[in-house]
Amino acid sequence: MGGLGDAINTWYASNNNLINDSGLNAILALSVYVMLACGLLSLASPAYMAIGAYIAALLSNNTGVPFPAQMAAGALLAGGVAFVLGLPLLRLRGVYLAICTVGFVAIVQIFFNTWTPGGGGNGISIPAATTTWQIYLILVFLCFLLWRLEGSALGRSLSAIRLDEEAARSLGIDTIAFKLGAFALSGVLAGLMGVLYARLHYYIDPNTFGFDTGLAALTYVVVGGSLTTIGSPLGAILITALPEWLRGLNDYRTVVNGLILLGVILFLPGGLVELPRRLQSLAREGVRRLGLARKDGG
Amino acid sequence: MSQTPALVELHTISRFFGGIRALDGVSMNVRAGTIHGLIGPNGAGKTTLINLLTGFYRPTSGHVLLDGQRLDGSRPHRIARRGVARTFQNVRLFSGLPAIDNVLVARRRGTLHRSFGRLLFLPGAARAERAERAVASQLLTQLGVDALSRRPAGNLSYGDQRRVELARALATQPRLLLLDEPAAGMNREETDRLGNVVRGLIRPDRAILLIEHDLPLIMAVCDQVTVLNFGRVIAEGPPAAIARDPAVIEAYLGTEDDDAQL
Repeated sequence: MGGLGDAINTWYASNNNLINDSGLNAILALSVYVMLACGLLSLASPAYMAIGAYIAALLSNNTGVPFPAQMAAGALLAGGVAFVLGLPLLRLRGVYLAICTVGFVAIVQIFFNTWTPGGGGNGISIPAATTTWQIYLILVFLCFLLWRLEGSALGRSLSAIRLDEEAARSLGIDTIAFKLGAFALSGVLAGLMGVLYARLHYYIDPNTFGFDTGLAALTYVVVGGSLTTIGSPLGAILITALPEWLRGLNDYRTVVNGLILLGVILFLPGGLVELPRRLQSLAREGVRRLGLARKDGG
Repeated sequence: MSQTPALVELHTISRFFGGIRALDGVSMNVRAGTIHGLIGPNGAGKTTLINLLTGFYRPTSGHVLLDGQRLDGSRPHRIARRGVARTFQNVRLFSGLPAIDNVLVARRRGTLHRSFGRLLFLPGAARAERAERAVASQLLTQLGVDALSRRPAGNLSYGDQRRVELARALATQPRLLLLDEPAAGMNREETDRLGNVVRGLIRPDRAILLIEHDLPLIMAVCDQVTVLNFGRVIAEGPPAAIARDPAVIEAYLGTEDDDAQL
């Protein structure tokens, strides 16, 4: 028993950065997922994350506000900003919305680059506080909430909006309210993640909160599966951890990432969560063909 | 019967798209407890009228009353909540969702209670959800597609999709039901069966506005018929009178002059 405990401790000690980042990325992925759930393609999550992270930095360095209150502040402020951002962007769909959110990320990044209380482009140091169990407790809690909502009347309404907005409106669904809700929730999730991120990494600077972070978050969701809650954290953890497992491949690690993304888009449009069902149906098909071949032979 | 007050009143409704007059001064009343047919050649403005009644378009001029209260200018979901439901000319189901979920989406009452109650595992929320599911299931049974309730709506045959779509519209408990060419793509037998179904949907406090190209169906089920042509009402009356109306015959078959030009 002691041997096993030691082994886990050793494994954790050598991988804890990876474990922490996987959990954080999973939360960021959820913030993209809640938008996709009602058909909104948004890359704005890094901007919300920046708001959460800088709130955490300010409150930690200048006040005695406790960590949980910082989480609440970061989540609520980012959620509020997301809600306000949603007001003018509501009419946009698909790639047009995505382009605007990329613009918003650039604006927020430039703002923090010049914002002296946050250290501008030099970044700012923050006392660390986030622990692994906090990250995963929050992640599991969030997954649980979203999973329960997904099977509820609200979840069905979101799917309806994603599948046919006009038909949804004709049934009495207030699509504007739902979309604003999705914006706000996306902001809350990424803002919370930003607080956890800032207080994990000792130091933040505006470079972290750019377009590529948003693109990575979108990749997690697409690879894991954008139709169920569990897909996003699955994709996030897999893609975050994968480069480390493939360390032997050196420079080709990102190539493997790209191949996985391509493979999923081409063969598993529902993401990796679809893999077991897909394999099952393939196996069934194989057995059927085998049976046919035998019959033909006999 | 002609004494019942109008559920829906259209007062000189016009809707222009650029220079095109899709509807031009249309006035008509639809009474509760009746099936009101709306016919006319392609491009006569029938679907425009449905989009006006459901709030997807606003009239360029004129106004619409439901129960004496202004309907135009409200947003589509508010109009739906006031009891206006529709089916679409080309069926628009939520194709990835099971048939029964398509119907459940239309059961809006208690959505927040049912959803957040589910988060907290409240037994009342589960009970309410089961009750809504029973209503949805019963509607699918009424339309004869209960056996397909768990199949993704997009995988159903065209006729079955139309039935699910009708069940979905009924799930909102509409006072005004707008059917946009429900018999399109159906053969005679299926159309006749649809006619029976539509007749069975009539309630004393409900009006059905039936847009259709299939004249035998219109004649069989409608109490009143309005004929549109080029955005104007060219005839109105009981089906038998409409069938003899020279203006209607001209709109549908063309005049002798038209034939001469051909």
